Amino acid sequence: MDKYTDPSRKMLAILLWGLIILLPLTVLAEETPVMVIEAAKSAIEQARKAGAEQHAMDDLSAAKSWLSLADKTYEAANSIMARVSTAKMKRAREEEVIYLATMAKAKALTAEAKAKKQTTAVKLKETQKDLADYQSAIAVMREKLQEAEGAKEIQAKAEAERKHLEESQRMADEIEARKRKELEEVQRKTAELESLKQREVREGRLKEEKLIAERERETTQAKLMEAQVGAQRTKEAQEIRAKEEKFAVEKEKMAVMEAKLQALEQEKAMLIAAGKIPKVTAKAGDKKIIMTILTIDLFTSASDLTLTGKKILDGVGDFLKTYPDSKVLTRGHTDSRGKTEANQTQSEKQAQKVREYIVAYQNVSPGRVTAEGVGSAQPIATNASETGRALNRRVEMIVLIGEP
Amino acid sequence: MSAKSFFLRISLFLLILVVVFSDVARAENITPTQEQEFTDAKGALEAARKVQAEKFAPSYVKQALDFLNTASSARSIPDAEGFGRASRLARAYAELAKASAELNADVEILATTQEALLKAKAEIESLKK
Repeated sequence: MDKYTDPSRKMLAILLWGLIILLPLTVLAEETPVMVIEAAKSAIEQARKAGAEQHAMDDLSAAKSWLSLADKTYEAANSIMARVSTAKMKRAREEEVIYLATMAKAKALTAEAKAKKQTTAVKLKETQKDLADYQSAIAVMREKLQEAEGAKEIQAKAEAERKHLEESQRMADEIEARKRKELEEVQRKTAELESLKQREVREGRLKEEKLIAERERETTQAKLMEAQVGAQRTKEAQEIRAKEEKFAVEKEKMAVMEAKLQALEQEKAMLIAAGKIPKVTAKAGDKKIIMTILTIDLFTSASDLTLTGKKILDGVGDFLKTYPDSKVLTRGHTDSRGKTEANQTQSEKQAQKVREYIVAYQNVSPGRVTAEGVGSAQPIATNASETGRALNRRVEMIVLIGEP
Repeated sequence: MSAKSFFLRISLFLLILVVVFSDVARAENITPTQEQEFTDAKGALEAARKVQAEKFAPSYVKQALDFLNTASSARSIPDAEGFGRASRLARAYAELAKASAELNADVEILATTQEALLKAKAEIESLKK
């Protein structure tokens, strides 16, 4: 039988070829010592690159030691003596090499992880510091933003305040214009009075001159007649005396008129002086000057005197000191809002405060000044509008002329 | 029986003896030091779990567990050398899992911090406007 046709030999050949083909495949599928050693070397190199020499020296040294043992064991396994050992012993040596190299690889990977962790920790710390810096900057910027918003609010408030002041100024201007108009009216009336007075004086003088002329004429006639009519002398003398008495009466009338004229001149002077006091409206009455000051110019909402109010009262005090023989009545007024009793109390309180200030700070004798309040009983304008109410809220200072 | 055949039989007998004795040598008793290594490996794995290694380094945890199972199997044979090797490998991989988990945790925190940093920068730009 030919050796190629023998079935048993044919089967043996198939098995051998099968082994020849499959053996390398099994080798490829499993880890060989060389593969594991190379992997361990690669891991050690990676660990070294990651900085393990600085940050994980122990693990790196351990990896190198394990790798050294693996190399030595591998060399021993491939020595001439080892080649004659059994397959089982070879396998045992290979397993040992794989074990040693695996340990080296694990230690190298651990060293790499630890080294990377150190680097990452440093980077993390720097990043956290940067983040903290940025967050601080954000906090500062937010704070500044809030401050800017606050400044805007303050600016808006200031703007509103400015508008309010402008409105107040406008009202004050209106009141000033009205006061000026009233002053002009007073001046016009004063001029009329002056004209009337001058006319009366002129008429009186004419009458006097006429009387003098008449007397002279009569005296002349009497003298002329004296010689002719002796009997009528006594009668004529009596007539002359009667006329002289009449003349004296006329002279007294003239004196009274002079006194009236002086009183009128004083009233005019006081009216003009009162009209010059800022924020004060003055008008003449029957032997009195009425000075009106608006409450808004004198008091705060809590009925305390404002700085402006004190300045006004200083002017009033100077005025009163110029005319020390006159008495003063301070009278408070309110608008019609609120209860009558409350308005009465408030008007009295405001009048009393004005009186106290004049007495205390302007040295006006307390006996000269009295105070009273009339509440809303004597309005000078309508209470239906804010402007009218503002005019009604006032303090009047009534100066009685020639009443010491 | 020829001399050649006799020689072959003797060689076969000696080979069997070597194999039998090598198995007997391998089947030596497990020492207290090896038991300690096994315990240390379990301790290292526990330490790795405490730093969330199962989340941040699951593959190394699995390898450590596989080596621990291998060690347990070797103890039941008993195979002292196999037990010792598997225990040391388990410990090495558990330590690797711990180091890797700590690294990955830091990397995650770093990424989060960097993201927060970018947001902070963007917010600053927004506030500047």
